[in-house]
Amino acid sequence: MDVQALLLSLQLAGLTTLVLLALGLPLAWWLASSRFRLKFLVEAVVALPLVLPPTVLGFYLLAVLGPRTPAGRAWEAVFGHPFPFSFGGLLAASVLYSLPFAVQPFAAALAGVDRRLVEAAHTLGASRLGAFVRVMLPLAWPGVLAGAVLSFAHTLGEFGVVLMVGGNIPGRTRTVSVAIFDQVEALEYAAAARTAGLLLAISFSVLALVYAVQRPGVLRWNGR
Amino acid sequence: MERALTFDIVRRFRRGPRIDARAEWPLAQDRVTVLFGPSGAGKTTVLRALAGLERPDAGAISFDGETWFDAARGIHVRAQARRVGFVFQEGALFPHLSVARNVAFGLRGLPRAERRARVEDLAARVGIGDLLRRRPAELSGGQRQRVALARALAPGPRLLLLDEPLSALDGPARAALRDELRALLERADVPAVVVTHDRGEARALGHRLAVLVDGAIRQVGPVEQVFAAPADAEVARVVGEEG
Repeated sequence: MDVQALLLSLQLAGLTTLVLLALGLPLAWWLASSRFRLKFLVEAVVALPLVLPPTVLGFYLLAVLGPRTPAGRAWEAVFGHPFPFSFGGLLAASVLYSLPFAVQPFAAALAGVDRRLVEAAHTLGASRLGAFVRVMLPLAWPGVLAGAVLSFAHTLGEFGVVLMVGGNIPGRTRTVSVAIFDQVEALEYAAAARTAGLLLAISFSVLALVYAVQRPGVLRWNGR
Repeated sequence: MERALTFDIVRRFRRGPRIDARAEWPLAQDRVTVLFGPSGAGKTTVLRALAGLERPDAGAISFDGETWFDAARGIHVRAQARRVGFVFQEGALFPHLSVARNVAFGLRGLPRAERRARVEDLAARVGIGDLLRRRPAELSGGQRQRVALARALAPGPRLLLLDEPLSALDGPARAALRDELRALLERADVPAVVVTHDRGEARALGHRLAVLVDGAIRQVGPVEQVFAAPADAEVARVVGEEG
């Protein structure tokens, strides 16, 4: 079993989730509260990774951030290494790839918070950010947790984007899904079975946790 | 200049009536104004505009010489800067916070001890002293509205706005809280505007009555005077339907 690949996948999934919390929450907040007329276009873009094959996403990322493009040179100037075949590149690709898995549950949960509670917070002197932190987030947090966990599990299982953008460098970009692919290619079925079984167990546990906390009465504030 | 709340609130909706409500109410102490009218007349819209929760399409609002809204000059003071207290129809208490934390919500700037003293003082005043540790879901409708009132009063608002504060209650609870609310409002020492479509409530709570029909304020005066001598047939119909 490729422990190194498993650790790399967990690290990638964890960091992707943190970045998605930092970027996805403001985006979801905007989606949940804005009355911008062209908002539907932003919603469509956020949802794109749900329907695009990962190879298409990977292809465009390489096309835009490849080492010979201006964006690619800017990436290299900032991070000190080219975008493809790096862990940073993998992280950026994973963030995009899992964006809808984070933003959609975030936005749904934030939109589900009773508007009057936010207004009540305003009349009590809370700023927009204050109302978000003190009222919206605590009330929406089962959905926020669900989005975070889904992004984590989704990143753990990604394959196509990793292969397109990251390649297969042990310790750097070789994730557990790629390792399984390699093991099968090399006819190492016993190793593949162990790795696959472990990934299945982790993914199932994580999802079971999400659905467990979504049950009525668990971690949810009842009543008005 | 005499202290007053002056407004001209114009709001157009794609469906429903056009609202153009204007009035000038002196802010002499312990004056409770009841904004009275049939449902759909625009009472809640006017109240929300006063609170800064809704931006009128045109007009102006000023309070005690301070401009809160002026469409012509592009001024719109946000709700959080107006220092008004707002009591929502069904309380709108924060469900994730205890009663004590609900009441303390607007007291962020105060030192802890002072905040606690203020919460306890208000809780005693509105009769929720023994409920401070409970969650809103564990309260009756009447208790919720008491908490909502305490929460709105806690930061020391300059104006208190109540949107149908008793409509979510039924029968005896409603009657009991109505009489108490009048005493509480009189003791609160802050001008208040109460929206209601209930005549009994209007009579019980208000000193001044403003009758809103189809988006316009048709008559303002001492409560009993408006009931006794409606300005025109329409006001008479609105204030007299009870028979």
